[in-house]
Amino acid sequence: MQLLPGHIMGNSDLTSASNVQVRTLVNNNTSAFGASVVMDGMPMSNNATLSQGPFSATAFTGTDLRQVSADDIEEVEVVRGIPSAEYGDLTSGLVVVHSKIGVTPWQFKGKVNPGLMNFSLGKGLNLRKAGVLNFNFDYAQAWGDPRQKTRSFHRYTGSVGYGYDITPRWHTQTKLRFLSARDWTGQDPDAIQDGTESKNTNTTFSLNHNVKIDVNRLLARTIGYTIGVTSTWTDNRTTSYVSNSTGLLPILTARETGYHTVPWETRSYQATGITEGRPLNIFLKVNDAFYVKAGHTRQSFKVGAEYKYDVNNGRGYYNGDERLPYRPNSDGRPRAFSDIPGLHQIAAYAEDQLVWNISKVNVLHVTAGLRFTALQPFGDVATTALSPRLNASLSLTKWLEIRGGIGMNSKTPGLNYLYPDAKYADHVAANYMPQDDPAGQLLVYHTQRYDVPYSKGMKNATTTKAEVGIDFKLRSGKKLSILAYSDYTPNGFGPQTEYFTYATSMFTPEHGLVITPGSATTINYADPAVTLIHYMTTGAIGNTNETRNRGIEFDFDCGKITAINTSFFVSGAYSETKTWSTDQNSSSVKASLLPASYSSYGTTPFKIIYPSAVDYTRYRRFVTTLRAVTNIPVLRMVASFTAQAIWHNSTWSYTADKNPIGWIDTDLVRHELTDDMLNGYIGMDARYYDTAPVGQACVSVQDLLVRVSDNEPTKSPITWNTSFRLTKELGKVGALSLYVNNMLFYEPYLSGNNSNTLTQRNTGTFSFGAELSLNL
Amino acid sequence: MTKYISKLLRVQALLLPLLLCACVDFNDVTEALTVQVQLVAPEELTTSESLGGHDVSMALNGQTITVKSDDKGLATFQGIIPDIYNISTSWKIFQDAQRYTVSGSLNSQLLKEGQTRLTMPLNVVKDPDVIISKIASAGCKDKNNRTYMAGKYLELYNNSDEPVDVSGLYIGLLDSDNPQPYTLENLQEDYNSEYVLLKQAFRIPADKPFLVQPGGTVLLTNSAIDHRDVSPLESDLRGADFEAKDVSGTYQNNPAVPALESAFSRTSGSAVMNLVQGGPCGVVLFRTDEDITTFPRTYAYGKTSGNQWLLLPVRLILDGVDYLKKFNDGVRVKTKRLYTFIDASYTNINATAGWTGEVVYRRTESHAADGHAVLIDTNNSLNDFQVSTIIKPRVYDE
Repeated sequence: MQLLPGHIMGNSDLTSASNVQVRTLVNNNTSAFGASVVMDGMPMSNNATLSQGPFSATAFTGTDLRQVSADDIEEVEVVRGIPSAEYGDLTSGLVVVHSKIGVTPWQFKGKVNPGLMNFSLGKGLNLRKAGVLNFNFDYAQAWGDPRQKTRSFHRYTGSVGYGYDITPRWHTQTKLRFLSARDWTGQDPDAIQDGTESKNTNTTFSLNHNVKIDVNRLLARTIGYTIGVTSTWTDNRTTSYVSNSTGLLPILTARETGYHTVPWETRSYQATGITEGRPLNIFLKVNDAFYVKAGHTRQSFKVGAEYKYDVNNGRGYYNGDERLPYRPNSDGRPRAFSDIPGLHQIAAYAEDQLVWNISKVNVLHVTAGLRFTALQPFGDVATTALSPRLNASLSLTKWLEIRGGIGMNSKTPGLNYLYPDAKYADHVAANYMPQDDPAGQLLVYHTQRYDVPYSKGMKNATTTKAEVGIDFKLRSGKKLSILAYSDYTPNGFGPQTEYFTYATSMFTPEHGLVITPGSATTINYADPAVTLIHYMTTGAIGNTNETRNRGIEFDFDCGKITAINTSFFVSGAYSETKTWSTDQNSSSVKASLLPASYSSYGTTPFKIIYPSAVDYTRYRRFVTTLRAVTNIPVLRMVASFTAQAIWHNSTWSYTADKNPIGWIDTDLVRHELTDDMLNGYIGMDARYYDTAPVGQACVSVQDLLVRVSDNEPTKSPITWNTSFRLTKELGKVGALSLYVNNMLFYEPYLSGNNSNTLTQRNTGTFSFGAELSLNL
Repeated sequence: MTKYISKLLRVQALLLPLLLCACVDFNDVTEALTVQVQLVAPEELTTSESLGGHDVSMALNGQTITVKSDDKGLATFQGIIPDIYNISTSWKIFQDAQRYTVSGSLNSQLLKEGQTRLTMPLNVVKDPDVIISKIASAGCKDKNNRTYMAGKYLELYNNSDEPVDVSGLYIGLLDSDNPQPYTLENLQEDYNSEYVLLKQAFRIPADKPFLVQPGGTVLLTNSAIDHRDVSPLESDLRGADFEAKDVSGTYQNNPAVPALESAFSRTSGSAVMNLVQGGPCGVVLFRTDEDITTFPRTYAYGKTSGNQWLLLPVRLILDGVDYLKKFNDGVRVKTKRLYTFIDASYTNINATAGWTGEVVYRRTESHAADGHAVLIDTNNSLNDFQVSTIIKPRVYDE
C-alpha cells in the first residue's frame, strides 16, 4: 500500500488494527468502513461487526488487514478509482487479493526486527491427476515498542488450497483458511502487576470454493460461481480497575424506564468486561462471461448475481461479575448480538468491456457497467442502490494515452448502523447517605430507555467517483502518469439528531424522602424537591455525513541510468479530504449563560438551532516520494533507497460565524428566529421577548451568536523520511534482506503554525531488521 | 631519548595551564550587586504613616533576604547575585479602629548590572475578618493506586477578635484553564484591572445567620463523610459546616450537613466545587447584594467563541489566595490570576499533578489571649501559606 502515490511511509506495526484508506485523509465511518477487501473472490465482510453501546464516530471501522498473511499472497490489486461492476458494497477503495495457488517449492520466509517476528512456510504440491494442493502456515509475533512490552500481537494462520480440474473445461479451486490472532495490552513485565490487561482474540475459519466452467457458447463462454463461508469467534476481555474518584459509583443496570433503587460502590474495584462476537458471513456469486467480436471491436461481457448474508450470533457485551461491572455507567448495559437480525443483500451486475482498435495506434477501451444492490429485501429497512460505472481510455499516439471514468459505489450500512443499541440515560433522583444510619442510606436513579427504531429510511452510502488522467510513454522506457480525481459521498453514515424530552424528579430529606431512622428510606414520589426536563437524542443513525476527497496523483518512472545500473521512480500526490455533517446543528445553551438552577443540573431550557453543513473539517497533504533501485549483478545484490517529503500537511476544523435560526422548546416545538429578533431575549420559559423579561432569567440572543476569531488551519512543518533496503540473492535458494526505516533517525521537535509547543515528528517510524526467504 | 621525552612532557604540563589561564577574560565575571527598592506610598496612606522601619524581603529558590526600609522608604540589599527574584513587603496599620494591610510586591524581577534601583508601589487593603485559611485540593491515590478527589475541602477562618456572621458570603473559584484565558496583563488591557475571572461561585446560605467565633473555622467540602479508609492522607469531614450538594449522584452527600448554594458554574452539570488537584486553584471571598448572574461574562482573551467565565468586580473581593500550578520548571508567576493588591504572590503544592494529599494552609502568627491562633495575613501567600500532608481540618498547628 505504501507504494501508492501519496501514501505515507511507516512501519507495519501489527499491534494495532489497520484498515484500508485509499484516497482519503480521514479514517471515518464513510471512508474506512467502505473500503472492501476481496480475498480469492469473496469479500471480507465487515457488515456483521458489532460494537456495544451507542454509535461511535471514533471506533475502529473497516476490515482489519492483519487478518491477511502477506506471505500467502500471490497478487494484490488496489483499485483506487472506479472498480468493475463485479465488485460492490464499498465506498472508497477496493483491494483484490489472490492467494497462492499452483505448484511451488518449499518456501520459507522469516522477518525479524526488534518489534516483530514473522515466519511462514508454504508449498504447492502437484498431485498429478488428483490436482494441486497448496498449504501455507504463518506465525507472527509483534510487540510494538521493544523497550516497553505493554502491547503484543500473536497470529497463527494456516491455509490449505486445493485446485482440481474435473474436466479440462471445469476448473475448481477450494481454499480453507484458519486464523487465530490475539491482541494483548497490559502492563510492562517490569511494572507492578495489578491485573490490568486487555485481551482480544479472533479465531476465523473461512472456506471458499471457486469454479469456472468453459461452456464456450455464444452467450456463455465461461460460467463461474463462488461459494464462501466465514465464521469468526471474537472475544474481547478487558480487566481493569474501575476508578471511583468521587466516592460514589452507582451500579446502573436497569433496563426499563422508571425510578430504580441502585446499589453502589464507594471505592475503586477490579472488574472484567467481555464482548463476545460471532460474525458469520455467507457469500454466493454466479458469473457469466462471454465476448462478441465485430470488425475492429471486441466486447467482453460479464453478468452476474450475488447474495450475501451477514449475521452475528455472539453474546455481545457482558461482565465477568455483574455485581461489579466493568462499565457501571449508562453505556454498560449488555446487548446480545444474537438478538439482531441478519443482513441479507442481493446484487446483480452487468458489464461490457469494449476494445476498439481504431487504428494501429489509436485504441479505445471502454468499460461500462451497472450494479444493482438490494438490502434486506422485503424487510422493514429495505433499501436499494443502483451504481452505474464507466471507465474509458484512448491511445492518441504511441506515447500518449488519456483516460477517465465516472461511477458510483455504494456501501451497505452494517448491522451496527441498521440496528443501533437501545439508548439509556440515568439521572440521580435521591442520594441520601446519612453517615450515622447505614440502614437508611438510599440511592435512586431514574433510568430513561429509548429503543432506537431500526434505522428506517437509511440509504446505502453512495460515492460518486470521477477521475481523469493522462499517460506519457517517453523514451528509454520512461513513463509519466498524472491523474486528477474527485470522490464525493453525500450520504455517509452519521448520527441523526432527533430529540425527545422527559421529566425526572429529585427527592431530598425535605421533599419526598420518607425517613425512619434505623429503617430503609422510601420515597413519596408525589412530593419532589425539583423536577427537571431533559432533552435526549434518539440515537438514530442516518446518512448525515458528507465527504469529498479530491486530489492529483502523479507517478513518474524515470527509467534506468545504465552507468550506475539504477532505476529511479518519483511519485506524489496532493490530496484534500473535506468532511462535514448535514445533521441538524443544535446545541444546549452554554452553562455560563444560565442560572445555576440549570447549569448545576446540566439541563437547558431550550435547544438552539444553527444552520447546518456550514462547519467542516478539511485535511490537506502534499507528499512526494523518490525511490532509487540499484542492481549490483556482480554481488547479486539489489539496493533500494526511498526518500519521502511531506511538503504540506494541514487540518482545518472550520467553524463558521453563524446566527441562531431557531430554538426547540421542551415540548419539542420548533420556533423560528429571524434576523429582526437578534437583539431580543429568550426566557427560561423558552419564549421570545423583545426586552429582557422581568421575573425570570433570560438569555440574550446576542450571546447565542457564534463568532469565531481563531479560524485557522493547523499546519505541520515540512518533514521527511528515508529508508534503505539491501537484498542479497542466495543463489537459487533464496534471498536475505536487511532494511532500515527512517534510516537517518529524523525525529525532530518542531512546532506548528498555531502553537509554540515543540512536538516530536516522525515518531514510531524508525525500525530495522532482516528478512530471509528460502526456496527449499 | 626516554629522558628527553619525559622532560618535554613535564614542560608541556606546566605550560598548558599557563596558556589556558592567559586566555580567560575576567571582565564578564558575575559580581554581587547592591539593589535599592524604593517603596511608593499609595494615595490612601496618610502622610503620617512612615515608610521606614518595615521588612522588605527578596526571595529566590526558598532563600529569603530581609532588610529594613529607611525613613524615606528605601530598602537596600547588598551582595545580591544577579538572578530573578520575588521582592515583597507588607505591614499592618490601624486606622479608625480598623486593621489594614499595606503591601507591595515585584514578582519575577530580573536583577542585573544596571538594573538595581527599583520602585515598589504599595497598596492598602482593609483586613477581612474572615480569611481563606486552608485549601485541600490535591486529592490522593487510593489503595488500588486510583485517584480519589472526594475528600477535597476549603476552610475559612475568623481572624478577627469578634464573632462574624458568614451567611451570604460568596466563595469564588478562579479560572483554572491552561493556557490561561486571561493574564493580568490582558485584564489590564481589556478591563482596566477591574475584574477577575471566575469559573464557579458558591454562597453560604443567607436564610439564617451563621456565626463564626474568633479563631473559628468554616469547613466547606463536596462530600462530608469520613474518607480516612481511602488513604492515611484523607480526613474525616463529617463535621463539615457546608457541603456542595452533588446532583449527579456521584458524591456521597451527608444529609446532616447543610447545603452550600451553587451560584454560578461555567460548566454544565457541575454543582460541586471543582478544586483542581494540581492547581491552579485560586479562591476569593466576596460579598454583594447584586445578582451575580447579571455580572458580565467573557470569552478567553482575543476570542469570540468557546468557553466563558464570569467577570467578578475586584471591588467586591474581601480576600483572595492565588494558588498556582507547579510545572516541571517551577511555578510560572506569569500565570497569576489575582492582582498583587489582592495577593502579592501565590501559593502552590510541591507536586506538579497533585494526588499527594498536600494541603496549603496559613501559618500561625500568634495566639490571642483566649488561646486561639491568629493567622498570618499579609496578602502575600508565599509568606502566609505553607504546605503539609498531615495537617487536619480546623487545625493550624501541626
